[in-house]
Amino acid sequence: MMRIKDLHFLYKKKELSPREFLKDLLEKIKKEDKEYHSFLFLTEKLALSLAKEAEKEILKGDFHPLCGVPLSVKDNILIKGEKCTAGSKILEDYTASYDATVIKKIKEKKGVILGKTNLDEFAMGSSTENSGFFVTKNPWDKTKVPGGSSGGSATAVAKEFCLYSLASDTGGSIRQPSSFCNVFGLKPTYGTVSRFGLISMASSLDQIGAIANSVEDLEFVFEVISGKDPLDETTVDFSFKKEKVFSLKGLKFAFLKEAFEKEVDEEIKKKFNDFLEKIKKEGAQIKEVSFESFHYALPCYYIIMTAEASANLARYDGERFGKKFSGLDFFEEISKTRGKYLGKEVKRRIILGSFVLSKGYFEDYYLKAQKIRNFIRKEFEKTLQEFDFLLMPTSPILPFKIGERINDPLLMYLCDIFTVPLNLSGFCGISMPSSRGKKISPGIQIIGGSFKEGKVFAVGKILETLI
Amino acid sequence: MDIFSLAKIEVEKKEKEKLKNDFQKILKFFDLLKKAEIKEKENFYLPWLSGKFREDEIKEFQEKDLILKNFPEREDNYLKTKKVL
Repeated sequence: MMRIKDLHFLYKKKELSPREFLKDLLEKIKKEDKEYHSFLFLTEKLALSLAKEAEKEILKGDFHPLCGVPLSVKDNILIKGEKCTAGSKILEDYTASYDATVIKKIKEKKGVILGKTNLDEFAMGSSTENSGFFVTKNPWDKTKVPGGSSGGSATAVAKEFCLYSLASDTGGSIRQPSSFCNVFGLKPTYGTVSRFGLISMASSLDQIGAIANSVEDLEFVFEVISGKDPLDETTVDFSFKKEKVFSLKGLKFAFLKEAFEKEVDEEIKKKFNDFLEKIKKEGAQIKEVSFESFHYALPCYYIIMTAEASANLARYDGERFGKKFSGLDFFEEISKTRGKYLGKEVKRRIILGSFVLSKGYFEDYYLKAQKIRNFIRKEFEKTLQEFDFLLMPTSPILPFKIGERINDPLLMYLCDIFTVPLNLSGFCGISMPSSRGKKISPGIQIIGGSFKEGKVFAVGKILETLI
Repeated sequence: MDIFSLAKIEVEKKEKEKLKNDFQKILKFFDLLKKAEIKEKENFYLPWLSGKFREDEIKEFQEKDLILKNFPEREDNYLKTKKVL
């Protein structure tokens, strides 16, 4: 499996050029992606021009590790002059008028953006079945889902159509598909990566991160995309520093007791337990912790997320951009446009969000959820002050059959029980496979405190050698 | 006002019934929070977001054409909509 460092080395030795590699990958995608549908569309012209620029940089000698490295981008991140659909019919014909900050940063390093990947409409879903266009297939079992909402990105990375993918994570949308496709995914600390140019779902939960084939590759990407951005007031002054960890000896890991509850798949429990045994053998100190807030996290998340989404998605009215259904008067036109061009799950969430914010219900739902969210944050903070890392499975279930859960929204929401707490609390974490290879294996989350990405990567690199 | 009008989403009767059914189940699930005996007084905040203020300065956007091209209906450089009042 090609890593960023390997490709950089090949470019350095002039054994391969970015244009040659791009050509190979585009051929591979055109041949193989018909079966998986990880890409919504390719951005060939842009890719070619970036590959040419990368070649110039390489000729100069000293070039960045991401220079000439092909990546894909989840189709809810804007690239100037390219379509951006967010997986929705309502934005089918929308073309972005500016670059997201993360795209600007990747372009500066001459990363080769080769296409936009499929997602659940507006990143709402856990299986990519909610895409307004088509369903992406699991890379290791085509009858199963790749997870979501970044199912296209995770499949594209797993099938080696690109070395990494930029995606967003609101309640697990990077980590859960990474787990389902057996790749690595990063959800950074809230405020480390600019959200400017990301199509907003729930602004207090959304973060841009990456999916890749190793911890080190996630680190290369995070180093470039993180940092203060004047165009996103929620970003903080932060400059990433690499850290080193030489062994697990003496490191304190907490693991979540609720990982062994009856609702969790037996194989996941077993692999999670095996993982704990392995790190114990390497000298790590491990201790069970239980979160009082654990079972409240999911309803808390769905209340806050739908509330914020209902406000954010008010802009899709068909008046200024996107598809428009012609009605008799202004408001009828808007209601008809939204009814016709938004998908089922999106409508469900907008309406629920409007409800939890409405007079008479606001206190019981939204305000209560805000307080519980603060409690969750404090529980995380306390645990991460006492321990270096917190471990839990990424998902309570293994990839399921396409169609199995799509008609039962609550059953679908339950996929997110282990991923939403991290978005609610704002801290950072990665999901990594419990066993390497071209197959399905349960994912494990390594969670660190705020701004501890350096530490998470450093220990992740060691943990990666144990799987 | 019904919740569909509040959210400005018009759906057919059949879809409405299905959605209402989903909402009942989901709201029951949300009700878990009502029973939560968690004594927390403060609303959520992130300690590392300071809420600093900045000057609100106008910066010219260079790609107006790209925005205009996305208008569903336009007349010259104007966005065309139905009468609001």
